[in-house]
Amino acid sequence: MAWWKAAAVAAAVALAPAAASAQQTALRIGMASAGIGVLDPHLNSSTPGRGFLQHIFNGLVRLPPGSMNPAEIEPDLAERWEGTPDGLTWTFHLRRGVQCHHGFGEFTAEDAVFSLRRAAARETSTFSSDFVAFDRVEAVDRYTVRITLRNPIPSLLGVVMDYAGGFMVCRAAVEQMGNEGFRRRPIGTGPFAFVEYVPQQFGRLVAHEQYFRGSPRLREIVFRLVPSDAARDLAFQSGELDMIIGRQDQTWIDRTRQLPGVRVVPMQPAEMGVVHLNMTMPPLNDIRVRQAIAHAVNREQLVQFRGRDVSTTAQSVVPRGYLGQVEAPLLPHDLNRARQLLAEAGHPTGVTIRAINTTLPGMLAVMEAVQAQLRRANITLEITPVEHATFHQQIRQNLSQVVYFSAARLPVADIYLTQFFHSRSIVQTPTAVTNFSHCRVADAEIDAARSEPDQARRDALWRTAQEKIVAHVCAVPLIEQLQLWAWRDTLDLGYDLRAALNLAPPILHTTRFTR
Amino acid sequence: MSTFVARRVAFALVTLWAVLTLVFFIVRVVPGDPAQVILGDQATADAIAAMRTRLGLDRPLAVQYFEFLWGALRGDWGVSLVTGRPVVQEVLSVLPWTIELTLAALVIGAALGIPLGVWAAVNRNRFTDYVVRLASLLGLSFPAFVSGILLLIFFSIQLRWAPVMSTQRDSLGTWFASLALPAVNLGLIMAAYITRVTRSAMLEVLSEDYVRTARAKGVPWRLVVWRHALRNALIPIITIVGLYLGVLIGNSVLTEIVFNRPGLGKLIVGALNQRDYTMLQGMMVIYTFVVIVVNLLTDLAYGAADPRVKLK
Repeated sequence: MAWWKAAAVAAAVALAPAAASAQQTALRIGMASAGIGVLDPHLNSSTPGRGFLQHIFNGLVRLPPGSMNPAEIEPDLAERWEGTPDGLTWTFHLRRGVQCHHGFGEFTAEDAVFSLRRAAARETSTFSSDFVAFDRVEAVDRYTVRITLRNPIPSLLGVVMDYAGGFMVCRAAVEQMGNEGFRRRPIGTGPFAFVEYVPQQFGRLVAHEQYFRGSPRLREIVFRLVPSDAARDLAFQSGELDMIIGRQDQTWIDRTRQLPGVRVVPMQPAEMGVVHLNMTMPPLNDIRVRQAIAHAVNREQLVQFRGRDVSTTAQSVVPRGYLGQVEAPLLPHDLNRARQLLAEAGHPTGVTIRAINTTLPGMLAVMEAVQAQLRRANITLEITPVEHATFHQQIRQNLSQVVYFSAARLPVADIYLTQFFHSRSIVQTPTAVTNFSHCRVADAEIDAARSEPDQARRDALWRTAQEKIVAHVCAVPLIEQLQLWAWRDTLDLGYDLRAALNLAPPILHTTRFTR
Repeated sequence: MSTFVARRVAFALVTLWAVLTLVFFIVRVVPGDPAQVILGDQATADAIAAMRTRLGLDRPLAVQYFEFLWGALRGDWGVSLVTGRPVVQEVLSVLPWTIELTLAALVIGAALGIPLGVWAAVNRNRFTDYVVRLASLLGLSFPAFVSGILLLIFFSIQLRWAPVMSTQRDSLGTWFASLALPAVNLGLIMAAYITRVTRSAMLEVLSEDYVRTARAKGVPWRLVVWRHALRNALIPIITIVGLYLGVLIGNSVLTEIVFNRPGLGKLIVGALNQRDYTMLQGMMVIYTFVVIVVNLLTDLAYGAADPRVKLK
């Protein structure tokens, strides 16, 4: 038996390193995905992609870490900026000496102009529609960028901040590697530089020593791609991960909070779940049927279902905290009124409506709960669950009477109102985005607000737009669901995390382990 | 023998072409637009159309098909529509993970399944037989993701013998620790299959005249079972191993997800979710190729296991 004992000892010694010990200068983050996607900030709009790429790139301006309040926007690559009173011309003065990763030189106005033009081009950017008001972008001198707009927009700073099309790339890197090469080796100016990405396994960033705010205290961030919720939780529990994205449900919060030395933080932006009602399809072309649906929905019950720490009732057709959001008069839960409205509309025995819905568990569960609520008002909601990519295609083909869509956007009312409720965004038109209801009742207010330089008047227009959309019941807002993250309390993010627009807590140059 | 191999290779080429053609058209018939997936839910219809043009998806299907076939003949599988990385590179980067997991599962499955099957057959309708049959039934009906999580909770969280994320391979020790749990998870399922097939094959063989003759001649029972009976029962066992090996490569996706291992199964599911046509095409070729090779090896193994089998 001696050989057997020796083998057992050898195996025990060999296996010992498997229980990984935390490296105090390397942060390991667990993402809920098997891939990051294309590594181009102007093309990648996925949650894991944005969470990863935000560390590589800067914007001209930024939201303070942990905040998503547009009123708090602060300098990033631009140290200051000014706009003309008519809001048409904006001048940004860049910091000097900002270095691109991997020796691609100093970031100058030429890089900023190149980035903005690239982000505005349909061929190279997902976010080109954010730049439709841009007339000219030019470098006044080596450190000054001027943007001229065709018409004023309410969110110019939102367009050039460290989010979506606002990420600044280094021109020399794109020109040297080409767009295809750049998409595999992104080069920016952020606190961490790209090293490698192995699909299904990890993406790795290292500290950018010449980062303009100072050399990062963490030497490395590894984004582990762990699509299984259970495996991610177990890896966090075993110490193989320092920070993880959580599941949006109360049981996950309750269970994770019980782990010793762990912080669990629900953060903004909330994804607001909205049921869009196609106003061109019978019986939903009758406002009384849409009102009946709105009365039949019980938001409080949905919040109880999803969990109080992770969700809250919607207040309007624009999520809470967005610039210009107001509490709109949503129809209250009232089953008798719902049945009465159906009878008035000629459906005394009820109606049947159909929805194509994604099979993603979180979204399907909410829709099934709504289905149960509607049934009590004699409204039969027939759900056809389809795989997620199919769902996205079919709802854009106008194949669903009812569309349940959950989304977070740049926190300015204009974006949400335009994408979901302006007639330009109606599905199956060349400029379509996500207007599934065919709503067109507030076009005038949305357009007027966009070119209105006076903040008070703009807010009034946005208020009217929201009230009109609610009154016409283009959609029924349900609940807002927060993002959940957990990390070890030995990790000091360096700021108070209340929100993260890129849907993952930004890791700063000051972020560190305390032990 | 060489004629047999040549015929099988020719047949394999036709099969490959048929699979390529089927996959090419099927992935395009399935609803879902790769351009939409790449650009996300804020993209305008115009931007999606521009992306389709950039990806070459707006060209006539026939043009895309012949370009794809011509590329395949030259060994060029194109680049992933989603990541922009060469398909061959992506597939080759995960192939070793799949091969090592499949082979390890096969070894565990055979090492457990064959002796258990023989043991159950020899003790037919006794307590041992019932226990083995029940265990194999459990192995077949237990979902891989449940057994995977149970293994993780016990061996990774409680005992800390192995990592939760099976991607470490810095040393022989970490490689072994990373491979052990996923291999056991898949291997147990395979063992359940092999046990059942071995048992039934052995029961048939043990009732043959030559077994009774051998026993009558005084050959020790152990030798009768392991040398004479088992050798003759190997053909159905090899068949099931060969068939299941092909299935295993594709079906290992649950194990790959739970243990967070890279692999072909996970790559296929990811490519399907993202409608990554080029990736799916490349993967299907590899998968078909592997299944064909496994089947060929299975046929060759018949000859090795039973000299009466002539390969023509």
